[in-house]
Amino acid sequence: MYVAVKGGETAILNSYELLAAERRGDQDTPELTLAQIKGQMRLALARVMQEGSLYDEELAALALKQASGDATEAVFLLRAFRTTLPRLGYSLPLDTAAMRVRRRVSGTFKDVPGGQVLGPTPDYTQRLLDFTLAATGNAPKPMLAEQPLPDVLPCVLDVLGSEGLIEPERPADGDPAPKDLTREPLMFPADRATRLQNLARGDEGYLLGLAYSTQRGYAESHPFAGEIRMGEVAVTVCPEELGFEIEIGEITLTECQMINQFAGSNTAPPQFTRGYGLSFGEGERKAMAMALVDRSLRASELGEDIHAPAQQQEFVLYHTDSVEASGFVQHLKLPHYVDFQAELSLIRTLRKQFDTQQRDEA
Amino acid sequence: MLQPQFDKPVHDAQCTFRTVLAALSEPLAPLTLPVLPPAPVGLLPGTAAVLLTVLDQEVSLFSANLPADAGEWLRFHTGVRLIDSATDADFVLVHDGETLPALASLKAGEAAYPDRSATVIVETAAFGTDQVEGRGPGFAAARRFGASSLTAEFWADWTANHARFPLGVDVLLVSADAVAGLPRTTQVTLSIDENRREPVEGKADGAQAPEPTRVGEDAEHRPTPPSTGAAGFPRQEV
Amino acid sequence: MNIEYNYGFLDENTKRMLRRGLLKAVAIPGYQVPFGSREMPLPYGWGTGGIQVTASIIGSDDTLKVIDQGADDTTNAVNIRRFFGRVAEVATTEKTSEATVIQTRHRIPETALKSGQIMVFQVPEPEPLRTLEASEVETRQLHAHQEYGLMHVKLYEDIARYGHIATSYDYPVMVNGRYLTSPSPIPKFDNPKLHQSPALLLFGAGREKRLYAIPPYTDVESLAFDDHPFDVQTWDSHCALCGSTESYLDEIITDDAGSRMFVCSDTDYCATHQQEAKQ
Repeated sequence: MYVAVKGGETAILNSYELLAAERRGDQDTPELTLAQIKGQMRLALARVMQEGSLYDEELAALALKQASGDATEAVFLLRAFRTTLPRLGYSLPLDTAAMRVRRRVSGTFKDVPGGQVLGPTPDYTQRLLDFTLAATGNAPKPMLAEQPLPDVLPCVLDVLGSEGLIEPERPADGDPAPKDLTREPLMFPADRATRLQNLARGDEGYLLGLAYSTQRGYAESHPFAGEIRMGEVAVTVCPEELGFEIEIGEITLTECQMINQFAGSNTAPPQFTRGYGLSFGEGERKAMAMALVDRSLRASELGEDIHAPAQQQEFVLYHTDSVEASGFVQHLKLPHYVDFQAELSLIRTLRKQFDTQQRDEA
Repeated sequence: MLQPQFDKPVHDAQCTFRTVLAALSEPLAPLTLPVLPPAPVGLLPGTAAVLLTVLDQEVSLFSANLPADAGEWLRFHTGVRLIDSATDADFVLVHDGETLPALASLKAGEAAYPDRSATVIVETAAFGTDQVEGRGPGFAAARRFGASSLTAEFWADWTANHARFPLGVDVLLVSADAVAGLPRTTQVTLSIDENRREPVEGKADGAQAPEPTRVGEDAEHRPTPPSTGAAGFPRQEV
Repeated sequence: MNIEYNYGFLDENTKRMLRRGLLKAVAIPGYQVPFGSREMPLPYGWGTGGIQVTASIIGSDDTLKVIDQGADDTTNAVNIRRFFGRVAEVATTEKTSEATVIQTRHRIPETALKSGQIMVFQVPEPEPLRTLEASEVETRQLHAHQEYGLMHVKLYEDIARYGHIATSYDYPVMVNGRYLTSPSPIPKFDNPKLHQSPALLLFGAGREKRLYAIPPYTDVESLAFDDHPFDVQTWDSHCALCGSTESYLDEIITDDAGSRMFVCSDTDYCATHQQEAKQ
């Protein structure tokens, strides 16, 4: 005799315990500390902070630990926490031109004012598994340059700007305050500030694939990495009641400015155009992908033909968010007995009709 | 010294909201507000409760004659933006005795976004049953209604507002301790009551004005929903 | 790190934003109000819209019932009920008749709803035209102009091909004669319960960031043609547990040979019926 299954609550509570045990793993191995994750998994941390829209290394490390290293799940945890935080105020716009640069490269000129600064990059390593890392050991002390980098490195794109060969970067008419996508729904058409905000929160893998598609003919894209810079930028607030600016700390950022060829239109002269990407921490892949997609989303504004997925605002921006995507894809494992029952009886009806028809025709 | 707001802001706003939601869901049936905050001069206690519940820094309020203290009270407790133009306001407050702005002059929303429209909060001394009969969504059966601050001109204006659906404004009528909803879906016919008299100031005649009910009470007579005939979809040429 | 969450989890600003949205939703029945959906501690697609609506309306006087597929004891329903028990300190119930707020996924209870009750529907896709037109900009315009020809054509093509309309759940409805609306993925069996319901029906789509409402006593018509009237699912069997012939039945496979039986999807209704049968 069939008995309806009860006890969902007990099953859920038991699943919590199983999850905790699997997370901890072998008890004979020392437990991961947040300091270890912060100190040694900095790129995983950067991605979680970036897509989680919250710059907090301690909480990002906790999220990664709780999620057993699953970046998407860690982003979700951080977002769900972030949404409960009161909005105390807004910072002034970050000045990336005043970045304390640790890395700055350009693909457009052999030498640029201030020089190419490689910084901590894996770009020129040979991707051979380093078995010495399997054992513990101390890293060598890096050799420091004889001269410190200048306080302010001029942006490579300014060189083109002074010649009038790249579009000037101007705020929209009236310099409106950007929308806050964590408090307002995404509406279309979305202005560039809103699009950039959406892309900044977007899943790196998704943006990478879209960016790649623009290089393979799915959009008019002739990109050059005008400048990529990484380093520390001051965060400043100006509380209304005080009336003066206070620096409250600094954060690590990666900024990418792509330069794209543009043949000109009826109203704009032939010139280079820009695509912009910005990411928390060392997030170069994300910043570059974002810059390419930003540029392709400017198609209608620049009077270009829209024929590729990466040029379509609704398609791109509705599907960037890993928390939305992950939730909705995975919701399919929730019970759908009722809908499935409805579909089942429909298919049976249609099948009966089909079989009858076949028999009649035979 | 600024008057305080709700004693328990989270819970008082919650139950006030539920009353307002119920009032708008079943229009023209006044409901007693469950909590009345200390109100500054220039706002009925009922109005103060409703405003504390719906206003914050994300919306704007227009009021033609708001005493400075009441404005400061609202600014302090809700953060609302007080603006000078009724036509741009998200919320429009009309005190008893003030002339209502022409409803057509207020924000009515856009065809694609009819929700971007104003909500008008009209204070009234008393509710009655002597002015109109309303029907539409939220009416199990037609309901009679009156509010002492509303005139025949208002109801004519309302008919035009209803005719613009889905555009239009929505109204909340608030007395010292009760609220009645008038969403744009409500269709009214002027009462043909022979004994109709002008709405009176102050307490309405008990025989004419039913006591407002509390949310959850089933004081309202609820006849069987009217039959609407076969569920036929307008035939289309396809 | 010890964090105390606000009553109902959401902060008061968020609740006010939702509440203003709900008031407009009630005033424009069936119209989808965009809202600043927040990230909830449950995944999108698992009821975040319904949870936000419930969190914005619920109070300590409420009695909450949560169902998924009609059942109170499915894991997601249990999880959501636990969430509100924790953040809103409300009484919970499995009895439809005792609840003041019922959050649901995919069903409307068999027990008739009462005046004063509020049903909160979890909605995955609020736009009934989405499968026919992918662009939100376009579908907004179609609603603005009440141009629902796309849907008529789709339904008519079904009739031409199969002899009847081949939509069995999330069957589109016209609300108050104006807006084409998704009833959420309830089986069409439940559609008639929407029409002139004494309860207030609120719908929340968290991922798609839309709210809508059907006020009490509002006309809700399931789309149909005069020569192809709307009809609902029927079964040849009755519930194997309570014997009901009037409820929506789930099919249960009982062995490897594919033997099957049918039982009520509404667990509260079924249990009540079984009790009555015993007496």
